[in-house]
Amino acid sequence: MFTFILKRIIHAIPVLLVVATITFFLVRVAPGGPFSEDKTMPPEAVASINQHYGLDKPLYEQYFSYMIGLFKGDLGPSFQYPNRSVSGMIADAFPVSLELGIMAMVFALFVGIGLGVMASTRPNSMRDYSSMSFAMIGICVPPFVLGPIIIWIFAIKLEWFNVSGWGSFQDAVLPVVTLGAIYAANIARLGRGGMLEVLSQDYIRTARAKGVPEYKVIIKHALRGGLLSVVSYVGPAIAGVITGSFVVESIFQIPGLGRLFVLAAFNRDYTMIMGTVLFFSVMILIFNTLSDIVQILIDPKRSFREG
Amino acid sequence: MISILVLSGCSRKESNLKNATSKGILYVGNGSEPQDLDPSTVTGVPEQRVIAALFEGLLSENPKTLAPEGAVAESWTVTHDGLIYTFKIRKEAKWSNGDPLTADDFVYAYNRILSPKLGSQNAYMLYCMKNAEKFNKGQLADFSKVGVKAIDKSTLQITLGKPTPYFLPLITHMAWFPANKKNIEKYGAIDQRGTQWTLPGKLVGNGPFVLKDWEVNKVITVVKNPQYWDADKVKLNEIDFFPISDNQAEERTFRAGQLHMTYTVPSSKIGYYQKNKPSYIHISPYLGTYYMVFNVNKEPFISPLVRRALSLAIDRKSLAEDVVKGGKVPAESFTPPDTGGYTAKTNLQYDVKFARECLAKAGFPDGKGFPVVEFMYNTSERNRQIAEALQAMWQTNLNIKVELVNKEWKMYLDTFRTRDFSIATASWIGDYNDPLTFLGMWTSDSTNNRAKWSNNEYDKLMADAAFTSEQPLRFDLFQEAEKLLMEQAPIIPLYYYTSMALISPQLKGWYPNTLDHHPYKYMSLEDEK
Amino acid sequence: MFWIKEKLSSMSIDAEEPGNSLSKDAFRKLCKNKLALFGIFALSFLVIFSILGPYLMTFNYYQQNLSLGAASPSFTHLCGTDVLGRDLLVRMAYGGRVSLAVGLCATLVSLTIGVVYGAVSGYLGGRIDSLMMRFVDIMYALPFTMLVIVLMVWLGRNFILIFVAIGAIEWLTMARIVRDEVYSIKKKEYIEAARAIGLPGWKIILRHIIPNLLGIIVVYVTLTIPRVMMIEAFLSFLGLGIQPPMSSWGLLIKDGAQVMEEYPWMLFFPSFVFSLTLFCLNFLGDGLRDALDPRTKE
Repeated sequence: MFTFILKRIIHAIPVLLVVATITFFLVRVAPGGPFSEDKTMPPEAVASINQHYGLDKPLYEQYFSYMIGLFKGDLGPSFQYPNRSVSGMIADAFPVSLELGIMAMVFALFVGIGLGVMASTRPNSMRDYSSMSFAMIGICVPPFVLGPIIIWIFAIKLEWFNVSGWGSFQDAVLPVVTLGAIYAANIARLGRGGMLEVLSQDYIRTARAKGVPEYKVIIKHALRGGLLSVVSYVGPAIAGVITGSFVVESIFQIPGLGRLFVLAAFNRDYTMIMGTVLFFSVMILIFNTLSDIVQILIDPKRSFREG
Repeated sequence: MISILVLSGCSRKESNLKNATSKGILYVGNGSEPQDLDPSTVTGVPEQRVIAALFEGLLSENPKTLAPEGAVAESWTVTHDGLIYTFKIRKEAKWSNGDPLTADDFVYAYNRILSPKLGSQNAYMLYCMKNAEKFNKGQLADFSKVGVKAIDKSTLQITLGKPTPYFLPLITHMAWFPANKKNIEKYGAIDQRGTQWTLPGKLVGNGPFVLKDWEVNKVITVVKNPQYWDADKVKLNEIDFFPISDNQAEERTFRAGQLHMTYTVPSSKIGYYQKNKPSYIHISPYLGTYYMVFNVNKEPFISPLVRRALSLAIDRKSLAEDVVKGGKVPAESFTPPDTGGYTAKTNLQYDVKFARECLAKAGFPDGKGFPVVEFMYNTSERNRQIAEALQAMWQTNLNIKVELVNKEWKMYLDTFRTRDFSIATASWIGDYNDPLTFLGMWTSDSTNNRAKWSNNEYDKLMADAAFTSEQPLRFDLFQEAEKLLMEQAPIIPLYYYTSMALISPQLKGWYPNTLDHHPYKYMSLEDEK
Repeated sequence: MFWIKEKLSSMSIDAEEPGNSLSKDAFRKLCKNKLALFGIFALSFLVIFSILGPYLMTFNYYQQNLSLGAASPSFTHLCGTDVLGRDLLVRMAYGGRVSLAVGLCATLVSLTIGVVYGAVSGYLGGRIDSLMMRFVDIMYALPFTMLVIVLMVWLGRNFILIFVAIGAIEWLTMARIVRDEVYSIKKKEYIEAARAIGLPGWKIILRHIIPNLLGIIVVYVTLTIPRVMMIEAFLSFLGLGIQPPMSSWGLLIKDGAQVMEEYPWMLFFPSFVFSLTLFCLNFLGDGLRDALDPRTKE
């Protein structure tokens, strides 16, 4: 396993370099600069600011100093907030997104597996159709529709939960549900599919014939194989959940990474954009690797040598 | 499981705002996240609102009338010619770290904001001071020649380059706030940008509150400053500023009982509050104008006839009442009514027939041959609705086509520099309560002249007005200028702003005024009966 | 996405013979799937509504009625009006055109790139194959969505850019799937037989490889269109993407979500058609996949 991880890390490095380079030039090439202001700035001021951020140096010099900074772990100062560092702001925002993401994934697994198992044990029944149609809601209703609707019902009309913010349990419920819905839906479908396949296998029939109670059949024998595809889905999905929750963070005003990135894009905060993109890439790589490891551990047919 | 959720929900709900009120903590919805808290470099309104709690200048504004009142300065005199002002600084004035506040703190602050390297965009607000402009433009190296002097520790003298009738209201602006030299230079040079001195734990201010915490995109917390000279009068213990940029989300947050006050109201909710909770919503005139600006050096807008035609073809009344809502008043001039006592006499008609005649005279009868022009607006719901409405009006009334181009803020601003636009939306909020802040924008040398319009007669009128403090001559000159501005139409005013706010009945000491300045010093929280 | 790849590759392992009896089989199975049938009918209705609708309706999509403002559904305006007094029904039809067009075109973009790339890689095999797939791996780590957002913010209003950008997010999976498929098909005996007979390369591709790919491609297209439409809606939500006065379902939904409490019809109707379309496409795609899989029972 150790060599597997090592190989992954070694493969990851050129990937990250490519990502950093592409982002760097993409960001610089776009028209307009980061410092256009409402009231025009005298030229000395512009020069002074450019110097502070190193924008007066030729492009390739900026690139090299940025790359060197990367190795030291320094992502540079934010363009939008001149007295803060990008790494500092990411460090503040990431735990929020992490919490939100993990809670959403737990919710999705809980609901998704529940629905999927329920549907698969009585295929083509009313229960099956209704569970799957319910799951479809997660896939077909965009989070920016679902979000405002559940805010309206549960936060404003019923006043059970909070409208926005992130700090207490009441703040968390609605965003977690909104974010987790689509993943719950996909997990439900995958789970159902996987369980159906497994449940038609011979060894399940044998267990049933032997008189093993149904719930034990499911939990002890079927679940492990049936959920394989769920596991392979969850890995990359976690990266997506943690990092890509722009919409949910905007609707609920959650100070996480997604919102940080979107605001940076709109504010042309070059360093922040690059910092967040790089960070996301690292997260994606880490979670893909973790997911592969878990899959290999669960599925006896695969081994680490494939990595 | 559901019952647990319900129970926990209920118990938390009613305590939220009540809890804050009983502790004297004010919850404010503050729009976008402040970039920085340095009074000498920031330009945004959300920043200004927080800075107003942390710092104070020589004079402050009366919360109801905006008349300048003594703050750090307890008294002042002015010479007969209106050129030399002398301020007496009160002995009790202190910085939040205990340092006494002296006249040198003002001299230092002005030196700082006028330093060319600092690049402050509000430096021009000090140009009335003798030699300030020269120093700021790098034409003068010796700051001691600039018209500000500390006669002694508690006496500050400011010498102006020319008589400035609006000087006293002007210096309540944050560009004129003092600065603590020791504190700032601990973290960098006098004219260095982006230093750490404005972070919590480091920032030293002289206002009624002091900075306790600043979690980006989450909340800014300020607490009562015991060193403030008037601390006895301050009733709030703490203020939490929440950066909620989406005004729909902010309104929901207010309605759910998580905010005491907001500075905006989404237009779709105005009707709801006016009907159901009229005591919560406050709409007041605001010193600002929403307008369209032409690039007068680009065809087809070189001709004033064409510009006037487009202006005449706009139904401002419908725009203000049906599209924008919120009691906005259709504009008749560029300067809002009753600005420092001045109300323009011009008016802007909705006259489609005349508009078509103008367009025909300009060479485009019935819109024939009129090129498709780009109409730029910066990304916002309101701008989009206005842009779409105007697009339809011009199509229907003049038979011309405009193409809507939506640009995000920075790109939008940059386009004024590159001049790659034909028409654009714009708005201007007055810096101080005098028509000069509006009319002065359109002289040939003004950096705020986005149309790049240049008219000798206008320049002369404005130059004459600048040297007069005699009334009614001064205002008469402004009237002439305004008339010329509306006839030549390098810009088309659409409506005057109103400020809108949602205020919880638990908040007392909040008063409406035309600059939408609400000093926290006078506010207090009371439980609802 | 990962799980699609798994499902699709597991499904066509045994689908070896080119064309005929398989599609007859598949058609029969499809017809028996009620949800898929419903999907087909509802989808056709929506498409016809979007394309022909605006010609049949009295209002056009940019006609404003400022004094009316946002009005609830009535006989004149079956779905109500928006804030500027524009008829919502017509805007929904028009928006449907845009959304479906974007969905289709972006999917085609990703399809073209993905299929060509994957087929070439799989057929050539060897080192070129490894290199090409390694490139895909690198691209997978790029948070494409983010880069697209950055691009859209700064180059925003180009209509073509939207197709290309969204298409660029999706082509990777297709490339992988196609490559795996081509790779495994290449190894089959009937291909070797064909080569032994002396059939030229292009004939092999045309007669044997592509027909076996068709199944996967059809399923994939049907399942990607809804995802692409979701991305477009998401970009519209952020204020990027389609510009007014043009409209897409995503833009209509975004407007509606903001004023949901005062004017609920502005949210309800566009969300309904949007979700219905996604619903249909997903069930149709599922149905197709099950139909083409020789292992599912009838």
